[in-house]
Amino acid sequence: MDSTLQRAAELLSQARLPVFGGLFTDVKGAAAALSLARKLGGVVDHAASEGTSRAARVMRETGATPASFGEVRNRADTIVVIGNMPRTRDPKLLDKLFPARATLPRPGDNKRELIVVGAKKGKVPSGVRVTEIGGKNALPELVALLAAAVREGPFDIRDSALAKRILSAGERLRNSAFAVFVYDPAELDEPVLHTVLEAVRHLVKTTRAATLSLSAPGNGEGVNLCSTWTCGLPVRTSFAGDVPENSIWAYEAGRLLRSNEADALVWIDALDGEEATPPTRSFRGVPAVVLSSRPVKAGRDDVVIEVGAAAADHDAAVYLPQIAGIGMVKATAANSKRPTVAEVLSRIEALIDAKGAA
Amino acid sequence: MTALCFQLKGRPEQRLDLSPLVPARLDGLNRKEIEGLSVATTREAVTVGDVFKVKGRDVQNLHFIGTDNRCDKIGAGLTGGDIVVEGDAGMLLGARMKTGKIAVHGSAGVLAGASMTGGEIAVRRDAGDQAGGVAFGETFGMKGGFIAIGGDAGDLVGERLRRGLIVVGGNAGDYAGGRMIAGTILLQGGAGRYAGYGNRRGSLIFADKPRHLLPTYVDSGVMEFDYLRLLETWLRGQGLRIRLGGRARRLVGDMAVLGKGEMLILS
Repeated sequence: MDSTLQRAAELLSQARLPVFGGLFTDVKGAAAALSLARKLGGVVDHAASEGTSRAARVMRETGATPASFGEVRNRADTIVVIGNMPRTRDPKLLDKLFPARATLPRPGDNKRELIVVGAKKGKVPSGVRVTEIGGKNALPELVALLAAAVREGPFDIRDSALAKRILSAGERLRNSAFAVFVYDPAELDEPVLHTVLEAVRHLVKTTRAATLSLSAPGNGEGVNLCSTWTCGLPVRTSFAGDVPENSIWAYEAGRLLRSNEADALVWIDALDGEEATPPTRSFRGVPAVVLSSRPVKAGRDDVVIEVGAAAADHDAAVYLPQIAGIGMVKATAANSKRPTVAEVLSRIEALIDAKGAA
Repeated sequence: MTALCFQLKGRPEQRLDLSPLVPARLDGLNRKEIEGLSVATTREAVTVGDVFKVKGRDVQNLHFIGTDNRCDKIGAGLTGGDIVVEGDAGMLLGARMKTGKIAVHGSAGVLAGASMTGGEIAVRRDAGDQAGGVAFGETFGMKGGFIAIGGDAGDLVGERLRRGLIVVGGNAGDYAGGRMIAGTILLQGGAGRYAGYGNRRGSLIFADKPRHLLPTYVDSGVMEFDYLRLLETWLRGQGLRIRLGGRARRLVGDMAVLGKGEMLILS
């Protein structure tokens, strides 16, 4: 183990621009990665940062009006599910959002209703009225059409049946006591996210409305929050300069590796039940230090360190969507001997420090 | 005085941050001090002298020669003076610039002219995504000035444009004029999908009928626009001969947001 860590320290201390990718880890692992990245002037990026970066940009520019999962389940009378991803990511989503038994008193006296935009309605809990807004138009267009209907603006489509459904959905949203738009930011382009928020902003002039944004896989939100409280910026941040710099384009791990701008990769994939998709097949091209809880295919010169899976081999603080915050998850196999990501990275950092001092 | 020239010695191993190389920062520095300025974007130190051969003296006239797409932030925050790039430019060309002129003979990377407030950028070939778009930490895209792109533009050209004019000679990508608040974008070679998405009060001018039109734009007929003639005259003054005429079909949108923007399709 010690010689492996020594090799990792060697590799990283020689790198010009190491990139910390994957980051499927708990908050402690993310904090250790950020600490090492700061020391080495590296870049941090999460494997599922496409959606979180976009959401962060939207939040920074115009703000947002999020609602928590429980609030949506208990109080929303109209739920708009946009795109396929929300239900692909969580097949039980609708059952959770529309529980069979009423929970808490809801505002207004509308029956609960579901509006599905740009996707097939699929299996819906019984007794829930559904409006399907789909057809030949692409998802961004359907969202724009619904937003136009919400503000009673005109639009121009040939499909008159669809037009009728869109108009009635717009009216239903205006008459809702609490309408919520559910989406995965990774599925919607940035301008589309903004149009959803515009619809919310229009609705809240007269009633209550909010968004429920699906959290990223692999503790993406937790890692993003950890990065933000550490350096003030979300992931896709470089620590090479005097001050950290964030750029969605420049500091995306895949781009840095493809362009050979990064000359070392630290790949972290150690969460129970989730697997990060590597940016390059089996890490070819750039020397890598791989911290994984799974057997990995790596190049001959790569350093592979087997670590414990967070929430399986050790207790872990991760982002929990159901509470919209970070919580502790108990380990399922507490007697595991495998080290945590945080332990391994701290030891590598100590070795690099020792080298620097020598 | 001859222009101050920076000739790239070879493809740099790391991206270069060339934002220090603007007249306001170079004024009063001698050759040695200029060569000592850091342009590194990794922890490996790189100075101007390491990657560029420096010639000439006039700091108000800067020439970058042989630059490539790793040369970022050329003319960023420019507050006056002329910059000529005989080569390509990386990301954030002329971002947040206030006044002055930048001419690029090759192509520019993403976010060219992002959140600029004035001045002129001319890119002879292509520009990457978000030309005239929103720079990091800003809430608006371009707020004034003029961007001319001779070739193609990427996605989101004129993203959240506030004021100013962008002319694209070739094709624009998807979401051209996405979320623009005001200002004008002239698209000579058409655009990808969702042009004018989230447009509030801006004007998109198409030389030809675009292949895709958003359903949230509503036709309001063919009209005469004196404005187009004024624009044509002004563009001629800039050396751009673009026939606009005075008649155009006007579509109003994006009805999904404010709905006070327009698309003018020349006829």
